[in-house]
Amino acid sequence: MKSYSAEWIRNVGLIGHGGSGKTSTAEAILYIAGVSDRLGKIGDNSSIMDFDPDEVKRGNSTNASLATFEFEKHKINLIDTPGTNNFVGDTVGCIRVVDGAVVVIGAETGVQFYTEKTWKWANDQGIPRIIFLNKMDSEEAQITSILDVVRKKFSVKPVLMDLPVGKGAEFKGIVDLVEQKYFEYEKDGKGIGKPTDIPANLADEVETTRMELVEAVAEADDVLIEHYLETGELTEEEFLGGLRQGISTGRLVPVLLGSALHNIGIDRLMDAMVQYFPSPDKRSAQLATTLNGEDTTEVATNVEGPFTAQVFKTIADPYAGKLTLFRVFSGKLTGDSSVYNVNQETSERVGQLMSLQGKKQIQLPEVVAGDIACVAKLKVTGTGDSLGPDAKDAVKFDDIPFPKAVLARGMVPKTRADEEKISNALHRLCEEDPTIKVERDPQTHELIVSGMGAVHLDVILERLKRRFGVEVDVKPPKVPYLETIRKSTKVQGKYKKQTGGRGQYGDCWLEIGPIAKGEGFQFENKIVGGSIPRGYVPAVEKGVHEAMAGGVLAHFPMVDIRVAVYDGSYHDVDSS
Amino acid sequence: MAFKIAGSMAFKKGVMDCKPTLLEPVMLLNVVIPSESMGDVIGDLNSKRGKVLGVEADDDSQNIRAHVPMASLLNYAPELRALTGGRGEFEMEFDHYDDVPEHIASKIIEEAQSKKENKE
Ligand SMILES: Nc1nc2c(ncn2[C@@H]2O[C@H](COP(=O)(O)OP(=O)(O)O)[C@@H](O)[C@H]2O)c(=O)[nH]1
Ligand SMILES: [Mg+2]
Repeated sequence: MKSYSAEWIRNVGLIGHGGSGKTSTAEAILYIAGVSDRLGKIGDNSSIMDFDPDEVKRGNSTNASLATFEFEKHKINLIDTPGTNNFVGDTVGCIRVVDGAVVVIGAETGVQFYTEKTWKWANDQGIPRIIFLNKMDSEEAQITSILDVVRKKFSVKPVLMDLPVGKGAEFKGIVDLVEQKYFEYEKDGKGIGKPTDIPANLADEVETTRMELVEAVAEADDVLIEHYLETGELTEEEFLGGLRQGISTGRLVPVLLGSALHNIGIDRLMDAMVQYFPSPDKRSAQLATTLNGEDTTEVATNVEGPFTAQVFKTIADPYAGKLTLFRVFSGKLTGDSSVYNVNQETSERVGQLMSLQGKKQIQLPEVVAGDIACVAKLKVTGTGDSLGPDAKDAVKFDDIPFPKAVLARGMVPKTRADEEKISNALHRLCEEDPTIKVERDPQTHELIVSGMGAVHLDVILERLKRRFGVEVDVKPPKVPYLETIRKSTKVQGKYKKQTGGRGQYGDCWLEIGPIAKGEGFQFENKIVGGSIPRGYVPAVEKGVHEAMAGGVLAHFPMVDIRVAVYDGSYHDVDSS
Repeated sequence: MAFKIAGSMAFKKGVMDCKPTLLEPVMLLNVVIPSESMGDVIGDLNSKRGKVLGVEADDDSQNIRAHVPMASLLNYAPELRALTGGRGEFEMEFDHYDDVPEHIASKIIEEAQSKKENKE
């Protein structure tokens, strides 16, 4: 694919609740764009975006997928994200690198909790949004009630750009309120709306809804509202300008309608991506830190600047090996060169630059500021890392706010062979997925793997098995209990074995008592008058210390104890 | 060598008279939930032997801070999701060790001892 400059690029994420139709929407888009020659279906191997075996098996997305395509002179990098708490990492990574997000809402279910979460993340990062109300073919499809929820929950003004024609199974087209045209779709799923006259019975509704739309756009801008109040209309240019302005400040959210399943309204959604979302060079500068002096700096999308990029996703491809997906924020990168990894403080060789269409790779001659691309077989680079040209000009972008793992499990490899392979395998999985955490509990020595939920942990286990041939049993982590004491005492310990040959003799009196929380262990030598020679005292301490490792109650380590040896006796020959 | 054994013997014997006590890790838990789940989540924390330290309201969400024994939180991710329709979020970190209440301690000790016997 040829190289596009920033103004001709759009980086778009599909976000929202699982099951709302994000992947189906992506499939319909790729079909219209000519990337696929039939409409991909979820869960039957025909999907371009849900190609991972985990996804085919589950029938939903467990990974973010990238597909790049050309559309109306533009290059669109489309990222489809999973819609559950278990795979949030990919959604958070995606939101960092896109300049616009399509929030897909199922018109039969409305706003769900994951719609709210993804909305909040996109809002926090200042990413402009469009709502795509999918499943308009459903008998239960709603519009007004959903927009009421959006208005209330997200404190934005949703503006309806469309009106549906036909309800439920009869849904067959969309009135475009901006162009004031009716687009009707054939049942063939080709997805190309044919402009037709607006059905007469809808004329009034079109009129009022369009008024609301124009008014909402006018209100988003002080100059526009003045002109609107004077003339009662906005020019096409004013309208588009106001709409873009309202979207980028987050005050307005255009709402488009459609059905991904029947490929209705998807062509219009694609137009909207190009028309309404900003190109990367219109995005506000990214914050970063310089390497010398820890100064904060702003990186604008400028192809003339030094090369800077951030990795947002790592894919393990069964054939190509490790694929590193990154967004270039400034400068450009050509293939067969090298980059400096700021986080790992080392250079990496870079081979062929590529983009992806699901699992298919497309060669790229170069990647310029604002674009998204991937490269195979980087050695140490992990998700979230910042890349630069060299140690001098590199900057470190703010960390991607990946959430912390919330569910921990103890892992027990099934065999010795599994035991040997597991740490390398887990290390590789961690590089790919920053929401996995691996640690060994210092007290219980258990190998603990934490993730975002039970399904995430299941997928981790399946990957261990499928990709690395490692099988493990999992169980809830052991709780690292401790033991301590609450009272003091004095006690004698006498060890004597003096039958035949060289005997053994040791005798000591200890004071044992509690000390403050967190003090651990204190040992004191209070011997006066040499009842035990100095040289034997360390042996007493060692004996106490070893006894503390497994307490008397349940063999947990003992802490916060003070021991003093203050008396005893010894034998000239037999003591040691 | 003999003094090491003597030290160890003295200690093991002496500790029995010092009221040995079982300690458990207690986490500092920070939960953010929609207001309508407040009752359910607090009730659940109580049943987990949690101590609520404070609650802050923010728009329509509530931020609860609590001390909760780690042993009660091993499945908190799916439990909190179930209590809050997926909306609740939490973070936790180790905070301190605290005495295990008597009736629970005796169960843990029994379990540890039966495990030890099985091994032998
Ligand atoms: N009726 C109807 N079903 C749809 C539509 N879009 C997607 N679906 C179905 O909804 C389910 C979830 O779709 P999917 O694209 O995997 O949703 P995602 O989890 O948001 O990616 C699948 O069974 C789809 O076939 C639509 O427009 N209409
Ligand atoms: Mg999906």
